[in-house]
Amino acid sequence: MAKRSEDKALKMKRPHKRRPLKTIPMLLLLTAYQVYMFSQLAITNIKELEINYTMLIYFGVFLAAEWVYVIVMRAFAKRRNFEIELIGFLLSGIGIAAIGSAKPDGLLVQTAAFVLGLIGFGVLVWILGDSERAMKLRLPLGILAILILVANIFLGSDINGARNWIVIGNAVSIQPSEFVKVIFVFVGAATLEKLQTSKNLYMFIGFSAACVGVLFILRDFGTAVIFFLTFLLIAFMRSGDIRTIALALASAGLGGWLIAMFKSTVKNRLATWRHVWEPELIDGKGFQQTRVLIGIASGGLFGLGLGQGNVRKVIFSSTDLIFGVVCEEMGVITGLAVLACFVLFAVYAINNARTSRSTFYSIAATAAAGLLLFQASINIFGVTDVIPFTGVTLPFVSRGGSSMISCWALLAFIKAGDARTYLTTYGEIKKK
Amino acid sequence: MKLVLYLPQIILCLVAIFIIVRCFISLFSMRPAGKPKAVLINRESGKKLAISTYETSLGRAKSSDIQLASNLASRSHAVISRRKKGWFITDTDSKTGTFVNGEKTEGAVRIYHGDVIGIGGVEYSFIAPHASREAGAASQAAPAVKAKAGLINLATDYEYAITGGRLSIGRNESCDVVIEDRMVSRLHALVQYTDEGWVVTDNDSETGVGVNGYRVHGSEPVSDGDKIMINTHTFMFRDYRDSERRGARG
Amino acid sequence: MKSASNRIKIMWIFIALSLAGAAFLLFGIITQGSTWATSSRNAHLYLNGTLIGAGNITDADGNILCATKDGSRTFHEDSEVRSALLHVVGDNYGYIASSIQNQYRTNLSGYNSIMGVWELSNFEQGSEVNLSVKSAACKAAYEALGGRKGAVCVYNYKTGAVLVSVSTPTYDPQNIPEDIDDNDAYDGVYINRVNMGLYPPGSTFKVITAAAAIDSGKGETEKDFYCDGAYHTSYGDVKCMSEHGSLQMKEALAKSCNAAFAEIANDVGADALQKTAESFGYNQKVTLGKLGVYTSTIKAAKDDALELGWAGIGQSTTLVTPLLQTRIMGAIANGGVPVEPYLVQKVTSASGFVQETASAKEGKRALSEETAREVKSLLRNNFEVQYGDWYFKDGMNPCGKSGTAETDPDKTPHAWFTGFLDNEQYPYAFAVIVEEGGSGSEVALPVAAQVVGALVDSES
Repeated sequence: MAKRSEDKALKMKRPHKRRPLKTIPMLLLLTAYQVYMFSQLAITNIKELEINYTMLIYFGVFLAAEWVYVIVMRAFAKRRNFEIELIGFLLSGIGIAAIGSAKPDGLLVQTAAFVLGLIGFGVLVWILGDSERAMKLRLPLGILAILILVANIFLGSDINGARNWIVIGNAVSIQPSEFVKVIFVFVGAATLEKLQTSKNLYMFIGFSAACVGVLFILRDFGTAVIFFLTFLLIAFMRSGDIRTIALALASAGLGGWLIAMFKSTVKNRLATWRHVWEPELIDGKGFQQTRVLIGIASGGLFGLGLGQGNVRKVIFSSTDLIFGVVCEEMGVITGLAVLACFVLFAVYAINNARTSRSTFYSIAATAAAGLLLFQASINIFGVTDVIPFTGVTLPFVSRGGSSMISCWALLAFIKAGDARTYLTTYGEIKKK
Repeated sequence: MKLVLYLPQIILCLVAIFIIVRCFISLFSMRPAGKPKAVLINRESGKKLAISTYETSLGRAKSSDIQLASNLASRSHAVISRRKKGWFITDTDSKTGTFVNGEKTEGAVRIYHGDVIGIGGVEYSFIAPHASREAGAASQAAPAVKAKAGLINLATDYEYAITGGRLSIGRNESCDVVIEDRMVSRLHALVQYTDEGWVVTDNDSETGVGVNGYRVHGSEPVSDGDKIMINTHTFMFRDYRDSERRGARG
Repeated sequence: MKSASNRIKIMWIFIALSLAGAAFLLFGIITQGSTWATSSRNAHLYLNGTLIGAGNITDADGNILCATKDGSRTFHEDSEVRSALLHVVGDNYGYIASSIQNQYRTNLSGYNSIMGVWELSNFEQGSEVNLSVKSAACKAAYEALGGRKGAVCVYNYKTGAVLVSVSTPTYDPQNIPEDIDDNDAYDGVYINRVNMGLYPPGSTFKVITAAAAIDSGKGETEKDFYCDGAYHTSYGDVKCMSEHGSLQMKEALAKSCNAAFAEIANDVGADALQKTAESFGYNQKVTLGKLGVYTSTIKAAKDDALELGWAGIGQSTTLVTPLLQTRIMGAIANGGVPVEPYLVQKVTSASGFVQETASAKEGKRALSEETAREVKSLLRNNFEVQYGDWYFKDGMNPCGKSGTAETDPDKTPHAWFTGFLDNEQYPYAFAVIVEEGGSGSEVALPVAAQVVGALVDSES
């Protein structure tokens, strides 16, 4: 009888809401979601069943990559939890769909970058598994980052007013600053003993200043702002020193003011801000923002359907303005859900810090989540005229191979911050 | 009604929201599978200082995880960290240094169960039963586990001995403990010996695993006498080394 | 680790900033979304500056007053109906500002805040705006005005549906006269006089003075007045049309005696008169959906018996719109409670989704049921002893009051007639003004009778 009552107690105390996620059913649902979105694009004429087969291939590769990743990780790395990857898949899928609508030519690169990003994600999660190994990699990576950026100054090509591209051969062009983002987070994070022994931030401040400085030379203001915000975040997490932060903010404020005074582009953007609807700006400097706002309103809560929007016809619709495409064709709800993902990643990183296996993981996860949030916010609020417009892309969603790979690499830091990630390898007993 | 054509748009948005909400609820509600457990015992006063985080700072500063009273200790003196291989102590540029078994440390030094740690003129015993020097050596040489444990089915009183540090429970015939019950998954749960000691791991089962009435998320440490519940089947976990030690002490 | 995980909380600041940005954006979408969507730059809605699929505007009987055909807006096939309803429906160039075409542009365009332009892009048709007006009766009103400037407004005082709303001068939006901007005949042609024309109420205001007198409880109804052709004050006289001799209020109203009502106004006092007028809707915001309505004003002079006397007979500085006059009559007819007038009966999206429906919405009570009944009997008496029921069909029980409003001594006064049918089947309240028409009962009443007659005929 005693046993019976215990069983009952077990049943009653079972908290239904807090059941961990079942990966496979969720992945099936996600796949169904993506298949429906993709079919809206790939089937160009439903009555005559005209199908765009090239598109179909890209979508197929994308879906296959998701499944292969999950199956491989379950089978060989004994992973059980895939929530973070599932959200990454969701965001990347929304991006692929929006690009399929706005710029189908970009799908090849985007899909390939997704596969590479996923591989990079797996590798980086493995590297981060051992914090000591990761700590040893920081110095060489930091030097590499500076070299990449310096190389960018000399080898870079001007694309859309910024010099932040390196073109290799004629086919491949990469955006080095995207990869430096990952290294920046990597270098910024440290284990507790490292934090205790190197109390001053001189090395890190120097590294950050070098990165931001080079980005300014490259005229990539949006990315420089993101780096600076991430620097503030990391600097405070490392030192807790308000004076350092205040100093950095003051100097940045002064620098920003000087730039705003002398750089006509920045001045222009500040002048346009909150005035985009004025008759002389609506078809000029406020063109992109007004078209995005019109698109958001036209899309309504649930969107017009993929391929039905007008924002997609505007220049830079697949990169800077992708948020407008998402809102117009998939609804404001989906657009805000994308932002919510980045907010929730940040909340999760904070929430997870207490149970983290090292400050290295908690700082890296928070910095990565913060960087993604900054970038997403600057993009979304920039194109909707909430803040001045700066040309940064929306993580995971915007078209861009380098960006896609670096976003997945940043996601690896968040994944590494999840205490369950290394559970099986951490205390594994190998069978004889 | 023509509005039916609009339904897919609504469903699409709701599915996206559902996936996000479900994933994040799962992320936020997860409990990490056990925390590191170790204790520092002041050799003079016998006062215990519990270590329950992976990285623990020792020092005189208020912000230290373990605040030391000794005037000879620096504000941030040392960090004890639980790494993949085991426990380490790192002196963090303290003025008076950190000693392990009488030797001054430099960089990270691995510490074992029973080691004496000197900080700021005070000696502490490091107590972490699963991190003994022998166990560490053994696990490095070969993963053979010496731990003796068993699982008793309370309905039948049949005892399964756990050999090789791992016992599988499930409906499949290849499992160590086979339960013929449709509510039990093919490979339902694992009881295994890890660096954290014995843990029971829920293998994504349909009906879950309970330990002493609470549902397990991922893995949960178990100790001698704990009741493991799988659907309506209750097992008692026995850790004989633990009970021997307790018997010897008593 | 403790301090490190505490410091991580700085991230909350950034999260809060992001959420604030999201809230700001969402607020913008909610408050300005329709402005953004209906921007002329929206290629979903506009092609070369014209709405691609603006929805139909229909009248109460389902007649199409305005529709999109082959990319351009076309109006009702009858030129007189087009002219009669110009100010309600609106033109193609936005000159008639307070029109359905202009004010319900968002609905007509096919945009709605939840579905965006989804319906338009799928059905190529905006929402249909169904009006409560009856085009046949409006045409009758247009004909009855016979080219004179003025306005006719009729509404159902039980439901609030505006059945007739005609303002002249007007023109045919499909054949715009070339001399429209030069010819004096088209003076103020773009203004809808029903809701934006402000006129002195003249003798029609005596209804309100009478209501105030009944409410005052000073025994005004039984009081004997003597009219020797004027009401005398120390500042001057309020002149009357004739010497009515000895009479009581009932008779005074029927004969529209200025002397008696100037005295009543002074007996009642400025405050009570103003209060009654305000309870009827003077100095208050009167609404007609999204269409603009000018506020009628009154400022009864307190220490000036002469001015107060003039105010009591609707001269002084008081100004009123025909719409409010109709509503005042509706309030009396409906037992003291006015039903708010509406013009847009229903807005239906292309997919058959009803976005807006009008229903009888009661306004604030204007006067007690008792007073309403007494005023009603006074207005009925006017017809019985003065105007004669023969203007209307049998059993209609018309009630009303004429008015002749002076504006300029050199000009013919405006002719007013306000009233209602005390009839369950035809609960119509109406107001007619003919600018520089002369006598209210001789000029405005026949117009009212003609329009109401057309309405009654169309119902039976």
